[in-house]
Amino acid sequence: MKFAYFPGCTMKGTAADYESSLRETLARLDIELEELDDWNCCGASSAHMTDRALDIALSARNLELARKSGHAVVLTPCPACYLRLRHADLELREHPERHGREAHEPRFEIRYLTALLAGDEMIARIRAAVRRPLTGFKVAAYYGCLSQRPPKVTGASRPEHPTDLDRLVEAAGATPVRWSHKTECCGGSLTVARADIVRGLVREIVAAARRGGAEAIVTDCAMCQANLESRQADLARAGEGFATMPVYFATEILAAVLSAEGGARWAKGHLVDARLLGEKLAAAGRGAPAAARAGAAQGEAAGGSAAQGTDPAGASAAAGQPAGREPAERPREVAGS
Amino acid sequence: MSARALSLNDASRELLRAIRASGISPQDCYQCGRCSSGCPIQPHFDLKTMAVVKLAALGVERPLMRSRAIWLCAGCETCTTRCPNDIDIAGLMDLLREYSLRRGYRPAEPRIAAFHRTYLDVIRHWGRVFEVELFAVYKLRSRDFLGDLGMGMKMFMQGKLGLRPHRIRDRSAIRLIYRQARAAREAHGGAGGDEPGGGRGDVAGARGPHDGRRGAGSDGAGGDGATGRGEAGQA
Repeated sequence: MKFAYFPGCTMKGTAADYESSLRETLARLDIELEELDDWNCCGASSAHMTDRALDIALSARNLELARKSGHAVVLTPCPACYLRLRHADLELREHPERHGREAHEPRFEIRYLTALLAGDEMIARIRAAVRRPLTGFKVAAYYGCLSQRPPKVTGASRPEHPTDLDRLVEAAGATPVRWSHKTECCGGSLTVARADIVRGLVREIVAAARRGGAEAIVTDCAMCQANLESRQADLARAGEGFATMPVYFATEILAAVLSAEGGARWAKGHLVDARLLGEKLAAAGRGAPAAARAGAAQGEAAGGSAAQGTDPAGASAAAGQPAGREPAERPREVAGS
Repeated sequence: MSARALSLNDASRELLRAIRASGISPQDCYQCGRCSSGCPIQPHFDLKTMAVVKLAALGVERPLMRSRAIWLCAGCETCTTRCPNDIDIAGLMDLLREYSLRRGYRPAEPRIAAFHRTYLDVIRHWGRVFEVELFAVYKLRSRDFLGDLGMGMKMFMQGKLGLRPHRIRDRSAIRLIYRQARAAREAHGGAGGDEPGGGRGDVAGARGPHDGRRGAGSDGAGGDGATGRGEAGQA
């Protein structure tokens, strides 16, 4: 399989670990990427929030590059880029005249990396390729906003209760917990200018993950990952006994279980203590790999033999299935309390 | 908002025209409140999300333009997703924000406006994000000198923040896009397209690193409107 690849700016900067881990993951799954030549920034939040014509025009150039590449699919790992590309594609199809065009009818498809990986065939491929499942590792799959919303643009079938990330971590042998804040916004677009507000959102999301029994958060959004970790670092520095929780990219988890190695590597690019994944991987290696792998292949959530849970009370609430229906509560209490 | 009742005199034909041109229909709102209750930033808003929708439906310009809400909206799209009447509320927030800049209103959240402006200036020049410049210029413009220096240093040490920009080869195409976007806005009902270089919310009035090489506003959006026009026309 070979796809055109639109990385987006964060992959070349603050989320370099996302890109290296997704490249490793896809190589092990026999997926080739051909990066679009000379792609530009999609304008992210700032363009559509203050200059809608510019938003469309920036993405239109990338759409044209994708068309010229001749690939049937352009794949992007960034939720914001994905939404901007899809939005521009829809707008240009519906209203080409508004943007100085006669028509816009390209044939290629814009696909989101996690959605591709969570398809049945790819999940089977991942399960078959897992060398060291992370049995007993309880994680909160965090989707954030833009890969799901608005569903008219993203094509998400269950925007309030998505399951793709849960399926991925389950395929890696880990246990996705039930929790309340899967798709609550972390405030990433405000994080530079209003860190004070964003710290409050991050505190609630981490508290919800811990209450769900998670030991770590797993996401597929580069902005969410940087935001959740950097604001947790702020909260920890401010004292008040805030305990941080590492936020991994789903592809870091996948690269780890597919390669069965890494150790310290998975902690290096993080802004909070993220040695947990390396420890889990090492513990999984010391355990009984064959049995664990069989368990993972059946999608079971084995008992927490390797678990180093920080919240035994919450851990008991963790369910073995992904993405059930969740209460729409918005918890207020402080993490770890 | 003042306590007095709204009258028809408060309606702005320009605002209503801009909303109509966008295809968004705030008039379809029956005030169920789902947008407000699902909004993660609502506790920090001065107008509830639903009030923004209602005021937009009525074309009541000034309270909207002076609100923090249109700037604090994080664009998470929850309101748009949940609206039973199919109103693109997040899209309406985008429209109101853009409209306020074109009309020269001073943003109630100047740091947020300064961030967006700086971001778009960086993209105009390099074609991709150049984080170090983005943060340096943002700090000058916003006077937010202390925030996140530690995090920036850590990312730098991790090799995530380069001192050289990620620039694309065809930067002239990007500059053309900025000019064309401006033309499209003027031709198709964008708000206030007749007002070049509307204020974009500088706090410090600092000029961007690339402004000197280009006439103010020559590239359309993000033109150097350091002083803006405040709330001209309202005095």
